[in-house]
Amino acid sequence: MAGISLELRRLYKERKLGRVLLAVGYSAVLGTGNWLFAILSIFVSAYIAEKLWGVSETLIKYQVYITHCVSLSLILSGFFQLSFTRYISDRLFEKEFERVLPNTYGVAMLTATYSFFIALLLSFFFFKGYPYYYHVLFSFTVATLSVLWVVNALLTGLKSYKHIFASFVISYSIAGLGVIFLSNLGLVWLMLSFYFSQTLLLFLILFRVARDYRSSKLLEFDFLKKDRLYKSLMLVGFFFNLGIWIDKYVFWYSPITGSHVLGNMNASVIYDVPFTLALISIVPGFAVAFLKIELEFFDNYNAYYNAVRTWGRLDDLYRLANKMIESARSAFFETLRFQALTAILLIFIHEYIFTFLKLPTAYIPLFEIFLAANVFLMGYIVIYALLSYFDLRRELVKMTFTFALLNFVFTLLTQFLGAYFYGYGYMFALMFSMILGMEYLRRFLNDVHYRTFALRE
Amino acid sequence: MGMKLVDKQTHIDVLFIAEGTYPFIKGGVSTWLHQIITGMRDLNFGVLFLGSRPEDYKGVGYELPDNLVYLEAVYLFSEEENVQRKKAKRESERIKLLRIFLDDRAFEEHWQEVVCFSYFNEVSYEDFLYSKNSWELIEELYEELEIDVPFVDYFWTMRNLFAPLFVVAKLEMTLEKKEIGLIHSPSTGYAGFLGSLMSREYKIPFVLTEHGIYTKERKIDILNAKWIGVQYRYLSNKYDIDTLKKLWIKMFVNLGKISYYTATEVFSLFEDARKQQIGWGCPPGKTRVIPNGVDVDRLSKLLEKRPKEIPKVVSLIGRVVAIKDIKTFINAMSLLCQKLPEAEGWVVGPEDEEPEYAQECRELAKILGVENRVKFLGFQKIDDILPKTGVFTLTSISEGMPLTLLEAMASGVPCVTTDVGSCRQLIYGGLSQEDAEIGKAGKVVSVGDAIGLAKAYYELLTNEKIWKNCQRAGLERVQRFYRFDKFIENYRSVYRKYLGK
Repeated sequence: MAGISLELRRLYKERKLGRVLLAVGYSAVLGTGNWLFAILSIFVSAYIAEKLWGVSETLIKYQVYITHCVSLSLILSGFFQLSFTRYISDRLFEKEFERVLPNTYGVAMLTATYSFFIALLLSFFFFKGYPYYYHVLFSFTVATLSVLWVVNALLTGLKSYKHIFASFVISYSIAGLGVIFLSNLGLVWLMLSFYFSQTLLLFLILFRVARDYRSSKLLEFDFLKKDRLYKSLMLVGFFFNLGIWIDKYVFWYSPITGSHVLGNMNASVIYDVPFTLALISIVPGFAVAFLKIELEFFDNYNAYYNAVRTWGRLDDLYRLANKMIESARSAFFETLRFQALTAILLIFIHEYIFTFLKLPTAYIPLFEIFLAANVFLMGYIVIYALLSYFDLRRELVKMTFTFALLNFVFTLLTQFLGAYFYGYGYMFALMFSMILGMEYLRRFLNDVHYRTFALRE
Repeated sequence: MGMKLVDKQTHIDVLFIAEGTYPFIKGGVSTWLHQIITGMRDLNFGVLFLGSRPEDYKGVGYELPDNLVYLEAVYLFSEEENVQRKKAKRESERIKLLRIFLDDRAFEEHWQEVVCFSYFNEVSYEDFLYSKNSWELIEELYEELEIDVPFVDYFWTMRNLFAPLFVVAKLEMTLEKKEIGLIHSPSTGYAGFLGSLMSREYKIPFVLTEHGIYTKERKIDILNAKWIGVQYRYLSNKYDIDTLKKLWIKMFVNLGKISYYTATEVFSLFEDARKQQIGWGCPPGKTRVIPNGVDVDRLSKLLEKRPKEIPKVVSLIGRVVAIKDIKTFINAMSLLCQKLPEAEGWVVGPEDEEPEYAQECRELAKILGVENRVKFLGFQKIDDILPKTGVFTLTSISEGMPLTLLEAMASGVPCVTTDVGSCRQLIYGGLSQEDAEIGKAGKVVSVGDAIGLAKAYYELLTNEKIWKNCQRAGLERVQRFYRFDKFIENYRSVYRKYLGK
């Protein structure tokens, strides 16, 4: 008798369970780090240049220009930073190595094109009445940076840390030296030097992709085909970057707190200076988060999903999941603790720092708020990384969208409430979004087996 | 989900539920079904074909009779892709009743709650796949049944075990509007389950005919299947591979019981099978033997086509699949050829069902050096083959009541088979004293006994006196007990009882 059960063997499908999603989780943490430090390095060298030459006006204009270039390009390229990394990760899983390079060129071309045109449109506003080369330089810089962030996220996902690090050091050293030595010549030269340093950086990291993933095709837009890109990840990338920057834009372009610095490019000195200074405080917290996630959590994560995919009996799965959850908890709380400690330490000594740097002590209250906000920022980033490790895309969208929305609404509110409340909008937006993310993570981890087996594709 | 091939928009007297057989796969059960349908032109028949996936079947292999008024093909494993992957909205505790299939005590208590329309109305396939309760059930059973294989292997086994039930249950809801007089399932398993569901829900009488013992055959399939169980992993083959196979067997045993409990009558083809059904849990009062039959008048005409000499040909007519144990036949032929070099072995039957096995058989023939003596002829008309055959043989490890054996006897060919199913009864005469006195129509040896087979072939092919005796006994036995018209008459009276005609 020809029964059916025999046929089942063909249906015993290749298991898609518990695939370890390396790339997106990695780039989530590290990709964020790269640009934070890049910006910091520009500000540090501007500070040095100012102490050396005292051409503060050009330098301030330059900083505002850089901040706009970086923030705009981050927001514009947000659509592809994570989604494209995931696309490549999927292709690598399917062993379609041939697709990596031509599609990277494809996404580069696409991002560069639309970033260029949007930047060009904006430049008519920013540089109204300025010579045309301002428009051109600005648009090219934004386009280059956009591509840079996408490739940066990709390469971070591919774990080429050393290469990325070296490339950033080289090009930002050049940019930094440019700031120090060219600031006397005028703004355009600084802009030009920044543009060249970024082009160099882009080539350096693209070179790595081209070297590692050879292909017979030059250009391909396979990633644009239906169901190749996760729309959720496109949104996550966009909202994440929008959220990070939206409070700054509110402050810059509010009639109360903003002022023209370069053409129509605004800045808000009372907001920007303490913010930038406080940003330095996340360096140690970032290191802790990175080590905790990369070394401790990742091993346990890998062990659990290996057991899920291959050998684990139920009790093994419970044991390993507990270990993984424990290490996720510890990554989160250790980072928070460390960041809080840094903040408290800085609050004790901030007066000395401000006098040493010859900065007005009026910035101190807002600086303190930003120190507290950065504790939540680090918490938010760790949660963000963990959620992307578990591939909780819908939750990521909700969390990053909440942050972008709250940061906008709360910051706007503080504008009306008065100077005393500045910074609180940013802090509370981060706090709420972080707690929301914690809740998502908690819910997932409570049911981790069920969700991994029954609800995963 | 389903594919309607024939629907003449009229009432169905008898609905067959054919699991993996008629009209797509040729073989014993399909022939049996085709015979009943063509043998009772005055009744309207329907066939519900249950298959695994559309791509596993080539197409209809029979000329469909006019009185087949309904034919639908349904595929049990093509469903999953269509189900939305999302968390179930409402959580039903009752999904946990699915445990009856794996938990014998729960089975006796609760089977009636599960085998009903309302159960599958409440517990959807989606619930089974994605609900929390279903997950908890799977976790609980892992502990209770003391499963010791990796969870992921167990998890997928569970999904594959239960998924067909939901497809089958949904089907029942679509057939609601049809007017059906009687449901007749030629097997237990998922088909029997569907029959039971419909019968209980719509109060349609349900009868069952088992050819082999489904439960037993599944057991053989499962024990042979390499694919059930854990995938081999380096340094980790310490698990009890049988654990998952035991799950499958449990599942089929309990599915079988559902059919036995629900059917009003349970037919088998021969006495041993009837006893086995009782052993697997069938209430003895429901059982009855209705043997197969062949068209004796037509087949006996083949005698005229036979050559004078006994052809030195041993024919095995059957699908080239593992359960027929073709390899033992090849072994036996290689032994026979050592003593009788001019002997030939013919394997007559389709090879597409298990291509790998067929390939292995050809290679075995080559290795044994009999690739010129053992011929694979594919599907052939028996009218062409039997007159050229000296000895008919079957080497199966499991059989029900093979029609080919009856046909061989009816056309005057002595038979040598392994001792499975009804073969002993047919060849030696096991119905009654009268039957035994007719004499032996060939020889029965034990399963896998290549030497015994070879000896029997040699004896029959070389000793004309014995050969003639066997021929005579075979002809007489079939004529007396296994006539086609008698077989049809038996079923006609069964149907008449339920249809009131």
